[in-house]
Amino acid sequence: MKKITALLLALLMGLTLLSGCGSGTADAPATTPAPTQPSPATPASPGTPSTPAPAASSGDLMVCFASDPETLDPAKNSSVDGATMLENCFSGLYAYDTDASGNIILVPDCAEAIVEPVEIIDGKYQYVVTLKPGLKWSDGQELKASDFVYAWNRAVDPATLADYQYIFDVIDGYDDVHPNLNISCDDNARTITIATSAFCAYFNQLLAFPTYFPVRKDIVEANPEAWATNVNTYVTNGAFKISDWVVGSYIKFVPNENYWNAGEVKLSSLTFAFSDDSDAIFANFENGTYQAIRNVPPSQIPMLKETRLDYDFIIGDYIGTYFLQFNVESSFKPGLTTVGKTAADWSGWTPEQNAQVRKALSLFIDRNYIVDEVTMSGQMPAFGFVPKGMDDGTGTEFRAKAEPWWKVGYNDYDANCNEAVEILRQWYDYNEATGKFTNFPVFEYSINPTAGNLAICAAIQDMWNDYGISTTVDQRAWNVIQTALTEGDFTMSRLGWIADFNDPVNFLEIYLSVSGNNHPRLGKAGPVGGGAYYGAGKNAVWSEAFDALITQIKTTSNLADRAKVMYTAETVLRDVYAVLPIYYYTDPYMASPDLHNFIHSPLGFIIFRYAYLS
Amino acid sequence: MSAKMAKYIGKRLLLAVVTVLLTICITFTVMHAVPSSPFNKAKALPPAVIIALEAKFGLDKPLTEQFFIYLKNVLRLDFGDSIYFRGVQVLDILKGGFKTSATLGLSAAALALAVGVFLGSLAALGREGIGDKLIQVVTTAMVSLPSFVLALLLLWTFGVWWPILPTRGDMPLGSLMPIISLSLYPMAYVTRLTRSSMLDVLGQDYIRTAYAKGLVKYKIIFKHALRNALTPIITYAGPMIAYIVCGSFVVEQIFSMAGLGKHFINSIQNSDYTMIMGTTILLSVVMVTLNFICDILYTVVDKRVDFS
Repeated sequence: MKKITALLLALLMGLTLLSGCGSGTADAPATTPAPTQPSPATPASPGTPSTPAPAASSGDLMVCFASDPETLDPAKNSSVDGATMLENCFSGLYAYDTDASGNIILVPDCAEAIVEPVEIIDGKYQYVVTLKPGLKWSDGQELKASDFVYAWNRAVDPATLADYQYIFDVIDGYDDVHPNLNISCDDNARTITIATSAFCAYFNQLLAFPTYFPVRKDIVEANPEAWATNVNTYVTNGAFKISDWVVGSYIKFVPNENYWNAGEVKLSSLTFAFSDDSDAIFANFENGTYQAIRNVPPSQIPMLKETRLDYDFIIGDYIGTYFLQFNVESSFKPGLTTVGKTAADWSGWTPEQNAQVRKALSLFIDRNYIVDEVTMSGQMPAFGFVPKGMDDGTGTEFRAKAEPWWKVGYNDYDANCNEAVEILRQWYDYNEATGKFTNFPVFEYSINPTAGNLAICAAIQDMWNDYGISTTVDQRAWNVIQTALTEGDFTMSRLGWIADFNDPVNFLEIYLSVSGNNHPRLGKAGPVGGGAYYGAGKNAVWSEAFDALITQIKTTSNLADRAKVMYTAETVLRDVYAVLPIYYYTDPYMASPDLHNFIHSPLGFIIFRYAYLS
Repeated sequence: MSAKMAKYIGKRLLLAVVTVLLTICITFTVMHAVPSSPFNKAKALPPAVIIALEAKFGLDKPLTEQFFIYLKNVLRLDFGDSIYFRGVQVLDILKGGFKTSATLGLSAAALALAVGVFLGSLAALGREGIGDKLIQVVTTAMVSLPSFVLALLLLWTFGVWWPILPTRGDMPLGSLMPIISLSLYPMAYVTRLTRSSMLDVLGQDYIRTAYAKGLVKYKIIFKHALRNALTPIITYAGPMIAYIVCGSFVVEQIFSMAGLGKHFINSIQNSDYTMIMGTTILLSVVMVTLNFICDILYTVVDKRVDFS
């Protein structure tokens, strides 16, 4: 018995070694696990032979912008990465394109022409959009006006669980619980009739937004959740259609022969590879695997800027603001060792004084240093909340005309600091010899610890430290910090906001009293009383001072008048100094010089509809 | 099989099941104790949508009720839908991930064992020679190099500067670099283990006896020395295979492969509750099973193991 066991054991060891040699040196290379792995996304097609990820050859484009999208359902997507894919495989009523001089413009896509709204009753406006004749879905079926109406009604239905449900709020009849959109269609005449509840300056842009793309009722209803995860049911109407999807690896699109302008689509395939390791993404760009990437490693940016700017390293426009936000309920009352939120912390201290303290904190920040030495990708120091690149609706850039919140010239920093010292000296002890405040309450700086956020945090901490202002860093994972911000469980945090559409209201409406993104809690119930203004020298409540302006913006049809209200609203927001803009985003990306004719939209979409490789 | 052994195996089996149950329990509790929500997006969702989402995933029920519902579903192998990846079943993601990680892991483990045992024996036989010294230095370096440095080094060396290997795991031959990255650490460890174990065995009386009896050298080395020297390697190999099969976040991340390691880390970052539970259960089952097999093998290998 003993002998047999020993023999078996020896055999086992031998086998281990043998199989080790075998699979280690000969078999392993032959078994490439990922491509042959049946994609979870295609459960219905186990027999579909999945092709290996395509190699770079003329016409086959492989790009890498991020990791897997949460969803490719136009109604449910809310990420820029998902939107980029949707922009390439769906076609909305309108689309983004470039004009002869390279400017981004809106052009009709499914629609025959861009239409002007007509005022109907009660300040409502009506759009009658006509579809091009003979439009088809990627499976060859006719694309009808009712497909758009179905898609929009589906997206606003709370049961659909759409992230961007509220992007339909400009349409008459919108309600987030019981929506009844004022839209109708005539499939024979190919028309869609839409009524907006008021004049909407950016409605044309919405008609090019992914959430407004059509989806097909029979497809969706047969498989409400999984239709957008299955290659066989993912029917689209854009320049490309899906051909292969390996979750965690890549999605491959091929030209859609049923796209109305299929003749102009030149790529033979478009593959979105998934990865979120910036070093690996960069390496794959350097060896030619990818022809376009985002997420450039910060460590490479100085080198790329120096040697390859505008060759294959491009600093694209991106409409967005990086800012610090304060919880207005946190009191900086002198004498406190750390900021507090109780009624006692507020006794003898006013919201107006608190706002002035935040203003001083903002003036101590050297924004030029941050963009030149820390972020280094062509960002611009911020001097207002609405970002650069945003139009005020009259064709004028908002920032060009809006009142600057502070000066950001290279020579202004000293004056800013002096002004800040003067403000704080009114209430805090200042040591002339050291130039530092000695009793400023310590507060927490909350961030999700990405390399960029940490570096900016360290720089700002240093700037404040020079004046005796101490902060402790509170690092929390993105998802955890999101909850804290929503619940007001923070004193100060960083945040970035990227535009959904090019209109300042997209930024201003964040701070409506009821907004879920109003992290500073402006106008919410707090220790100083419900709905308090927390502003400088005013007694109005926030909803009267600010919400009313937003309503006015949303209902004013005269664009010049509307712009005026937007400028006022931004000033009202400035005066509470609850948000301290730091810089305006850019989108540093890399694209092979061989890749031509793609569209980089300042909203973050990269569109390869008519792109080609030379 | 003796009654004693059967009892031992039964006990181990029971322990394995209890371990998995405990893991489920702890993960569930800790996961819900983290103050985050899968529905907290950078741009806040409308309240009506959040309520509907919570109802859809049963998150509106009391925690204990959620736990028992989950347990009941898991027993029917129903892991639910991923909360993050809309409309995708957790089981489908896990199947794909396990296949990727297991293929990578088993190949790497086999490579590590084969090369490690070979190099280790070589070093022991040529003790204190140049080969031995070289192997010692290289293995020390390999054991101390973090895997992300190693993987990046490989990526840049053979993928960019001297581009002879594909850089994505899903390309033909793409699993070569990930397998090498994964195997270097255990390979170095096995080499060192084999060397010391071999040296130990080579110094034993029965080896001297074998030489004295005039047996052929290769027979002494392979039949008597190596076989006995392998015992500690088997002990190491069990947990090593279990560990490596569970996937490496770093290697999967760098070579863009959708394995268990990547799914596990990402699911936590996304607060994807169903995915976190699914990956944890799968990983703990794999671990417990391999350890169980190891325990059993152990009793076979070493008769001195006490069944009580």
